[in-house]
Amino acid sequence: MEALDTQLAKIQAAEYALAQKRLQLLGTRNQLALIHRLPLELLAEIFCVYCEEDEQISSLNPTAQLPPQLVVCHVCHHWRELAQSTPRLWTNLEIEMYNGNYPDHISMATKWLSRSGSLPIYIRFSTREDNYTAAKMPVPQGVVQFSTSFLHRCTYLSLRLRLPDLIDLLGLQTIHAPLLESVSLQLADPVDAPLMSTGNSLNVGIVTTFNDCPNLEDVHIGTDYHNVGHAAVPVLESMATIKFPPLYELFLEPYLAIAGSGYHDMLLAANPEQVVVKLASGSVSDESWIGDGSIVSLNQTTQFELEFSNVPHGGSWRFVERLTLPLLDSLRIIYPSFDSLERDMDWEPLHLFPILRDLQVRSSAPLTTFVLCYSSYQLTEEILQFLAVVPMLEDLRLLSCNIVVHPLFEALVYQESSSNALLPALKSFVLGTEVPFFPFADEDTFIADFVLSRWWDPADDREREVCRLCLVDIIIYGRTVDPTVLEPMRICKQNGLDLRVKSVVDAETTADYF
Amino acid sequence: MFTLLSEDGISFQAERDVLERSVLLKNMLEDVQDSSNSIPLPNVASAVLEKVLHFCEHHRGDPLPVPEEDETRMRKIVIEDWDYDFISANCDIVFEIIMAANYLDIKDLLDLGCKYVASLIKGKSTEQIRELFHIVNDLTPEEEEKIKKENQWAEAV
Repeated sequence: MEALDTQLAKIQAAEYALAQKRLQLLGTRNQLALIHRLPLELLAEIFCVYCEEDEQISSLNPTAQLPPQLVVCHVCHHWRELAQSTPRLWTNLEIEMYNGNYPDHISMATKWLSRSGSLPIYIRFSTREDNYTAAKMPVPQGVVQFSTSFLHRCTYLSLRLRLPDLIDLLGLQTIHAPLLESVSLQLADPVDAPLMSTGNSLNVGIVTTFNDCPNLEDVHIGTDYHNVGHAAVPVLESMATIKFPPLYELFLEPYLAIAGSGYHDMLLAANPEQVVVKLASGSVSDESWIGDGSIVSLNQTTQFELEFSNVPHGGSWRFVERLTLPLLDSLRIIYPSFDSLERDMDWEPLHLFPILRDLQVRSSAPLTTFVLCYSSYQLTEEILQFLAVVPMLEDLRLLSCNIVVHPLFEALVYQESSSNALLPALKSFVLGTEVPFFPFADEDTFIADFVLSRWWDPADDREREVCRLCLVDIIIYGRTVDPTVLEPMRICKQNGLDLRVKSVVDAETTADYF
Repeated sequence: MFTLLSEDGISFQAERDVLERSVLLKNMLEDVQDSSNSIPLPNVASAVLEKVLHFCEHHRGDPLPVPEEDETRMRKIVIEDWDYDFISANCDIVFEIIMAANYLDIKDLLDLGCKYVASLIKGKSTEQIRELFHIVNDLTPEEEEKIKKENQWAEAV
């Protein structure tokens, strides 16, 4: 028996030695490959260019093949060693997790970024963007600890986190990230809703400051979860005050510590050039968001975008009337959905337009661009309401106006105005729907009738109003266009206007018509 | 006109602005007053030097590429039509061209060569890359084990 064991051990040793010898010979053979005549730094450069190009480079997509960094690591021993010792290959980590329960996410991600040496890094950590299944895919435990351990080298940080993880991050209180230029924090997981509704288990009253981030320019705070009336709101409002240094852009979505007086403090401190604020039900649901009621003056802001999603009646104009924006150049207001008419209340913009006029009066620079985007499911009554509002636009001295709902286009351009100058300074007019527009059949008929009855009459000279415009953009997405809707455009073209058709899905209809 | 001498003893003539695409040659020309002396290039074969000069001739007068501000920044593989035709017509000596560009310090040619090889790899599987470059799998069992884990991770994300 002993003799046999000895013999087996010898065979195993010989096997091992042969395997080693085999690998050695394979390695020697590989050295003769033409590509290995290149100096290491050039081969590494090729790896970098390859990884940089491939779109899946750092975005690990389950439907794609391996990320290129791993592809080169799997070719041969020489490539693996070279790739792993080339820091530039490992500076971007974009993970969109398919299986959040995989146990090694954090350790693999840590290995990835550890190979980047001391270079600045880019981190984007998210779960799959699927509102219906997001609850099944929590981000792995330890994401915050993982991210914060690399914060000192981070230039871009985008985290889609569950609430407890977000609280962990905000609980750091002072974010020390000297290279950080852009941060995006997204509340991901609606499964935490019960926790939010209790309010008791949260670390209420956190103050988190990003002042230790001298290069920070862009901040995006938001959530994937847009359902209205959720219990999350009041708790989050009181959860944290987040303080930023002066920023270039601030993007705020609802549900996340943006209401309450802390919200205005945050805006004032950031004083960004570009602001995007999305308010929803809850954000303006009680009087506390008004703070002390003082005017919020943002003296660097040139572009302001506001989205009011199911705000309580009065919410939108009560918000706007507290703003002073002396350098404001472009204002964009979006009502993705609005149901005040159903509740038998005044149409919200009826109150908003006079306030806009006041806002412009308070500004030293004229507001030149105004964009109103509206629900694609607007009611007939709302369109008619808008007709009543249009004259108010005359006071706004706009150079550019974009009404991103096509029935309103008609309302804006055509007015039986005795002044013959509805919008005298107007140089650009954009017609279109930014979101896919899927009208109900009766709405479509209504639109066609509306245009035919009030716009298009060959015997009428109202077309001159259109001809005053020098630029017309047509943007029509995702619907079959009733040809009559295009008639105003035909007139523009006939009169030598610079007509640009940006995107017409129903290209055949359009081409035939012109 | 200046004369270059390849490693296999073939002479090539080119004008100053063509040669100055190469930082190495530009520096050398600053010290050379007499253009009758040929410049030896012991690391560049004539077949390669001919192609390199063809490239420099085509790009004479172009602004010289400036170093990237941030070398860690990602760049795209964008190859101009003429450059693509040039490099793909010489794909059998692409590695020699890259090495010559590196030696002569011709940044745009070096970039072109690297981008072209990177584009050959793009979209290919590990096995296809091995076939392309005549490489065999010499990964150790330990490395194979780690690769298995990396593959599992990639599937989970």
